[in-house]
Amino acid sequence: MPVYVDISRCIGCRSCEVACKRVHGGKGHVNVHMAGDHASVPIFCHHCEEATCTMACFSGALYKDGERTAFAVEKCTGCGLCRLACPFGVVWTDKLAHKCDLCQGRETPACVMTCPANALSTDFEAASKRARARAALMVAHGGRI
Amino acid sequence: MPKVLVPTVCPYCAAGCGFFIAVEKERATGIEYMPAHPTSEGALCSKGNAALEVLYHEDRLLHPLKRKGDSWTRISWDEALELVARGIQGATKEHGPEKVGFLASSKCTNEENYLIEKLARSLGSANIDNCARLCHAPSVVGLNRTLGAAGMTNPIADLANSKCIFVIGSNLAENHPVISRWIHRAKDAGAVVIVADPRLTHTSWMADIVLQLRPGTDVALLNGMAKVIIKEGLEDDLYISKCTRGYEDLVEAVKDYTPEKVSEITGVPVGDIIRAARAFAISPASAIVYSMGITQHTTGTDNVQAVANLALICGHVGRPGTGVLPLRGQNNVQGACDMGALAEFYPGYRRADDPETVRFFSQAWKSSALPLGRGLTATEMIDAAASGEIKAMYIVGEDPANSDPSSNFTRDALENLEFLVVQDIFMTATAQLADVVLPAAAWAEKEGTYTSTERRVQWSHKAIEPPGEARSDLEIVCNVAKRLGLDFSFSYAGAADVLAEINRMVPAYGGITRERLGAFGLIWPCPTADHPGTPILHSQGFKLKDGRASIGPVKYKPAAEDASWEYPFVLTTGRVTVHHNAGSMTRRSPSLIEREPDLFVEINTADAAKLRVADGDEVKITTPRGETTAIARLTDRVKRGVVFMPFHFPGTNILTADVTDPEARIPEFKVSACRIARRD
Amino acid sequence: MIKVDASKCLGCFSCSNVCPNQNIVREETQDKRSIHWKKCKEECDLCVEFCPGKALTLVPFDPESEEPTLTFDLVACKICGARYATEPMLRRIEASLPAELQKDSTGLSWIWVCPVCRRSVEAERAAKQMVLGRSRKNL
Repeated sequence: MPVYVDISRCIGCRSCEVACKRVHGGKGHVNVHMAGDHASVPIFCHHCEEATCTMACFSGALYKDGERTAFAVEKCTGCGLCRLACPFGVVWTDKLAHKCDLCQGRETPACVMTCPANALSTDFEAASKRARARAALMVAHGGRI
Repeated sequence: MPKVLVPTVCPYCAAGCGFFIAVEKERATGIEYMPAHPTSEGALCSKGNAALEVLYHEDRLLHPLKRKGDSWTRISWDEALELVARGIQGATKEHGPEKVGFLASSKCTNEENYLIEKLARSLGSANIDNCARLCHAPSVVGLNRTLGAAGMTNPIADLANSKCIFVIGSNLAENHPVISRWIHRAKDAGAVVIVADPRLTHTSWMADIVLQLRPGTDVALLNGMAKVIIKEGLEDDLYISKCTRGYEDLVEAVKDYTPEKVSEITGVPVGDIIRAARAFAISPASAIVYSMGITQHTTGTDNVQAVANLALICGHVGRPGTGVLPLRGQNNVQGACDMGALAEFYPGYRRADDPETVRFFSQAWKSSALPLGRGLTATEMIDAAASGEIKAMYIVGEDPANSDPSSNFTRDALENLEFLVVQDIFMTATAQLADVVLPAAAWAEKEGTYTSTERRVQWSHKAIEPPGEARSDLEIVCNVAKRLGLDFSFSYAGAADVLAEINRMVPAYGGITRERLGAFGLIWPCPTADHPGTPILHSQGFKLKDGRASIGPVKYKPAAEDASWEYPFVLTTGRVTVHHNAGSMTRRSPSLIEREPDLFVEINTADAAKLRVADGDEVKITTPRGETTAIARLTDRVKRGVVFMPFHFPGTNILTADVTDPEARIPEFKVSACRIARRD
Repeated sequence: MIKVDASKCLGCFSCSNVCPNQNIVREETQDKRSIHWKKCKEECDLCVEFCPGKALTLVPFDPESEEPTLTFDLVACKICGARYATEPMLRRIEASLPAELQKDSTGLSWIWVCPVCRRSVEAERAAKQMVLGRSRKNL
């Protein structure tokens, strides 16, 4: 349900960051972290099953809507508890809270569509199938030439 | 008012991604993705996503300006055009047309580039060029000579069909991000990826074999790989005998380039050279992707030939999944070259020194003033401006004060001109030196065709009106031409009208008419109105003598500069994803500049320790040309003795040398000797 | 007029955000946050309703009494030392979450780590295999 990242494909171009910020009126919810000189990983809201941000929210602005962790901005007072309650640091407060909403209102989340390297997807089945196929190929080729 | 989605081609790099601009109440309010685009599939990198930030920037030039001491007065278009006409005509009459220089723009449309070179030549000046001189001039020269055509031989999406992709001198993950998706697709199907670069880049993350060679040693590496292939009998004898000429010379020329000798020159381990060569030759379909790391050298043309030779001896040309793929930089640098905005070529790569060329165009353009012979290239024009050999220049959409090497020298040269007119969307460093500045329209404010690196010609639609009094470059050039008495050949109803003339002048564009340019364009050569376009080149032979490619062996020559006791580091330059070239657009885009705000220099961790430089310190970098300050970034991406700086900020080219490749005249941006010290 | 129960105030942003008349002022330096409640006559009770700690009550206006101010030391992140939250807010998070969710898979008590480091830790963990594989290749 959340946006899945194929880390082997991430090229650290930060397009997801810029796109997310643009479609959400200047408030982006994605952060690309450079892991030293060898990899980059965008960090997204995991839409946790046991969403700690919803447990800390006292006004009911953050709540679970099926698999999605949803946010009703009209109930938010900007207290800042949710930002501290997220173990991955992906809830932000900037007067009011904001976090990934899986681009409600768009057919495909902007980050998934825009990723030049095709590293993001909302289809867990397809993503894990591809990862398994690649792992099998590695084994078949004895870890390459 | 409903929202309208206008299809445009991204104004940044030459990948040619398409996207829609959402227009509401005559303003560009957003971007929508284009999932049906065959190359980008709806993807768009960070620069494309931020493209709208350029349109309404407060720095946009809105009115024509005239220099008044150190500042500017606003003038009317009438007065501006009058000044421009007088300036150019004055120089032509007093000193001769060979003393006037024109720089066309690799960011302008094909129609506009065609008109700029037509204007220059109709006035009798052969000095017309564009910034391709700074990036792929060696490809134009080298590939025309070896393969008979100067363009990427296979489309970008075709990389998914490769079984071995050899990326040398290209950081495509950061500079042509959308190409990564096709390489990943190839990898999912079992392809091997080899990356050769002095730096470990985001592109090397995709590699199975990394060849971290010393800057400027590419010919040695490529010859070494050829030697391994020949020695192990992995060359494609049938292809060589049927489709090429010159193979025996190559065998002779590379016989001393043993893996051991090559390893000594390049610093790449012997085993890696052999493995890479074998992987490339054995695979059923291999492609070589290259860019500035190959071209921006005094041996740029040699480097390109060595690349083409490797592909030819293995028969990896003319089939799906194969090819020689030079990745062009600017959105329309391919088109600017196709339109003949080059010192040595008229439109369609007809040689400027061929009397037949001049005869053809004299008739077509109804002019008796067309010059015969090659003119001064962009780099030579700067030298000529400095020495007074060029008196006046008309520069459209280019920023030599930031893009050319030896910025201090370049700026002095431009200041030395008697008359300089600059046409642009922002007051760039070059525009700052002009006598007259003309405000131009940005990509979303005009229409026309752009040719991407895969030779795809696409029509980009006009979404909004230009701001203030800015006009499209097409309109401005025609206005200037009319003031110079060329009304008879510069009267057009619009871009489509100019394209119709291009159809008659450039054989490869013969069938690329406005009516046929549907959603995703056509790939040249497309000579007739019923031709579908040619995604893969050379599948039926080469447009050279006997239809054979020409293998021309080259020898390894070291770069012009090398580390010395006074300048102990080798500086190499390059790009980062969020910025584009001289940075006039990206440094003004808040979403982009906040992600990479400062000029930095990558220094190897061990080297930095010896210099007592910590991460984040301000350091001074000095070369014989000048000195620049940058923020130190400690990393092991560069080996000891090598440092890296991006050239998107004005300081970098103060350091680079204007020593050029003798044939293509491209400066050696990739190798300069420098010294580094803490600023305090 | 507002009365503050200092033992219940979390030092959060709620009341200063919701007050329609800017009567509640927040000031933040590098390592401290202070909240100052001015005497107000409006009696709209938004701040009382939206205080997560139920620390505010409305009392009759008294011109003699002092305007309350509370100052909190900002807690330093266990990894990078950046000051990122007040202690009562972090304790409130601890109280809202079941114990098993308060330590991550490596045993790190993430509540006492700032959001920037939390993202770093998550990224490093996710990329660990990738980094190992790629750095071995480049030796």
